[in-house]
Amino acid sequence: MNKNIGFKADQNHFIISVNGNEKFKISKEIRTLNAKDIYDILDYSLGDTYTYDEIENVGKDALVLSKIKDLFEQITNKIIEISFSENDTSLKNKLDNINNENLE
Amino acid sequence: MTLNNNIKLDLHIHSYASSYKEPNYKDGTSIVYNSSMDNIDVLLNKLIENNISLFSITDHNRYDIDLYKELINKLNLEQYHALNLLHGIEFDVKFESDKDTAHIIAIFDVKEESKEADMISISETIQNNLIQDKNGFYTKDDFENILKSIGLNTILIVHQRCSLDKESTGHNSLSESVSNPYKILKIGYINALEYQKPNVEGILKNNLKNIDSNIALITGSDCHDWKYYPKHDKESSVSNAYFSKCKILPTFKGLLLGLTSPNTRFNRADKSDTNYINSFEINGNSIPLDPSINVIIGENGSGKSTLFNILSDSTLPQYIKSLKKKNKININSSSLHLKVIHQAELIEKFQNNELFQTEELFNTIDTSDFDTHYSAFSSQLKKIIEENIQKHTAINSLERTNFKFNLDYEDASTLYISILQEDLSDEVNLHTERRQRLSRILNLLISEYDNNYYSKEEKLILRNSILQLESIYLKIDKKEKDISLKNKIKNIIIAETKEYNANIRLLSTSEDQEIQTYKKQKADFISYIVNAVQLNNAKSEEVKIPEPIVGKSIKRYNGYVFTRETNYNDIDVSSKFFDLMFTKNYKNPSSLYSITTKNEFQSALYGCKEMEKINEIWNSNFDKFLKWAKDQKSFIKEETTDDSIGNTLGEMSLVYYRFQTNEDNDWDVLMIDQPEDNISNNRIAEKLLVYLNRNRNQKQLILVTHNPLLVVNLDADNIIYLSKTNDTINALSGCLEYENDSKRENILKIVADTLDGGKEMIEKRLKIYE
Repeated sequence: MNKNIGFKADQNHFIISVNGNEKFKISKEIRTLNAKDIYDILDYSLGDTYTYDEIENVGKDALVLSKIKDLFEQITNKIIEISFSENDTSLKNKLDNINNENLE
Repeated sequence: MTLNNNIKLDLHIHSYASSYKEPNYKDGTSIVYNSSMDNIDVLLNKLIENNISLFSITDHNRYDIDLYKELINKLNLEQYHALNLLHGIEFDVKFESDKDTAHIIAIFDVKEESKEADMISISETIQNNLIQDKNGFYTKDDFENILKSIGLNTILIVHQRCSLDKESTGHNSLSESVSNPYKILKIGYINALEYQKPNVEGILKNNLKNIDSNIALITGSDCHDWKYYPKHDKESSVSNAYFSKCKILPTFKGLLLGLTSPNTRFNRADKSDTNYINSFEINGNSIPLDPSINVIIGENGSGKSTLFNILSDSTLPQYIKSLKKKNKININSSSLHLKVIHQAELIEKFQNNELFQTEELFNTIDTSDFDTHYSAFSSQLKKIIEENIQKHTAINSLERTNFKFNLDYEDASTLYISILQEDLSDEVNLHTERRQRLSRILNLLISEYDNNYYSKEEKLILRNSILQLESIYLKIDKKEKDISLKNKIKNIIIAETKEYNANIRLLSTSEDQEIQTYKKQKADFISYIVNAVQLNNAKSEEVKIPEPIVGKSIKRYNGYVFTRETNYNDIDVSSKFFDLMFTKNYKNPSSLYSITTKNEFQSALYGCKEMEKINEIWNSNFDKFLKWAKDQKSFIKEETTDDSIGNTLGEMSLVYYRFQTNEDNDWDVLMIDQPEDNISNNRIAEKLLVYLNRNRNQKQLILVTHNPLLVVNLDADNIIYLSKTNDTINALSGCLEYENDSKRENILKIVADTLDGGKEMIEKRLKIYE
């Protein structure tokens, strides 16, 4: 599915939303975010895609948010390229043959 | 020069000299009336007609010297050249006073060089002890004194016209004349038994099978009336005389060798095919080869192996090529299929475990189970050691870790958001190993399913099992992929956030950088503590030593069981694992679990000199263990006896020879350079001679040997004796019965002089009465 991610700031927090839903708040006083939080926010499943809203804030908040947005974009650009080669394709072929075989 | 041949012999012919003892025909004439000196040509022509090569006139207790002299004169005639005469007498001997007499044919070794004197000695001794009464006899002592008085080597052949267990038949058989005929046979008093009816030969063979003594069975015509040869006389009902055939030279010595090795000399099939090497040339001489067993003997350095290599058509090194040229050695074996076993070839093959390798007689062993179990054991053990070191290091490092609390920076915030990474760690993918094992099981099941061995119903069951397993496999495969995906995502996030943190640090003010540094130190400090607490509270793991695993293969072929076994087969090899992996104080899991530092880990790992090489040395030690564990020993068992054949070179060589001699479809000539190597004399006599003997009627064998057993006891058909002077190889050849004369060498003397123990072997074999 496509996940649209937005970044904005209010008086006390930086807010990250996914598909319009507020997903995570970062206190402006503490200004830290765990890598694990990023993982949870992205909640990636194979086939997911990501789009990003423009940052509407101005001034210092916009500078901070644009850096975070860049980080998220860098990550998701790489994640969506993850692919898996099939484990043991020869076994899979053999199993397919048996599945398609008519023993009668 | 010819070797010995399959010849017909008749050592039991009477002449007129037996008339005192024999009855008359119905018309009143003696049945030996026609068998006088005047009718010698009648007899000789009958012998030629019947293809007899060796004969003797053996009258009852008589020796007609004049008749013998005339026979000798006649045999000089070209028409009788095929005939050869031995001197003999048929004695009536009473061994035991209450028993019947036995008829014993004595054949004397009348030498060419002392012929006259020898014949007179026989004649005079008999005349001095002459029996006049037709029922007269000699006692055992008389008989032995007569033989002593004659003073010649003598062969004794006693009548046995029925089973040895029959005591009374009126045939003057041995069994009628002694209480225990087996005893007299066992001690070697007698060389042969004379039977008449072919079915008696079978009965006697059966009688003799439990006697550990070579007693020949021979038949003679017992002809009394030469005119009706080979019948006994005119009135005899037997029309088709059966003659003994023996592969010998037609001489006394030939007969002696024939009788002392009846199994190899009597009733030999005539080899009709031409698939053997006839002869070879050396220094202008043609050396004949027998179609059966040829042995090459000589002192060390006499050129035996050189000749062997030339005869075997091997690729020759330069020095042999020059010897071949110098000695003008030529052989033509191009159309023949030679099977050649060079000297020390078996030793090399045995040492390299290749004795039967080329024949692909051993099945390969599937060691994947062992690999899997011990690889898992090894990695798990290493993981535990490393985790223990980590735990200890984490707690120790806390002692050196300080954090200075700074209130000013506690509430201070930087412009940019810092990303903390401590919570995002890789997840161990427990599903990988399970999926791999299920994959192996499924592959095995599918291979069984594909085998036509199974019935339709059985295939259906196998198919259902496969499909059921497939559903589990697919679930686990998905779980493995899920974890793998998570780990990939986490890895990308970690890499990108590192990049991000580095970038915002460059963009930050000095004060922000200090705050970021402070916050990072604080986070690290907390992380150390949490990490140490987590590690300390983690449940201590222990690795389970793998159970013994079966690692052997069995293949049954041609009467043998070819077994190959790994070192790990069905035994606990963990102690070897610890031996090869670790130093002396760390030979068990508990001592390895107590390792707390990398330094100690390095000293525990055998052969590890640097901490940086722990992984490399671990892997290399483990590879050594796997190599040792999977090293394979090969055993061969004889299926029929269930006796496990030893694993020594000698025993394996015996099996190899037996196997090669059994597998005789693809060779014409078997050549072995020193087959006796590494085999005890007992085993040579019990086994090797038997294997080689089996082939003597069908195939040609050429052996190089130093062992008299392979010459005298094997009863080689042709002995080639080599000697070398200044690179010139001299070759003499002949059968064992060759004696010194203008054309021949005394082969037995050469064997006695050349081979260690040769003289003893010859004496043991030749039971003669001097």
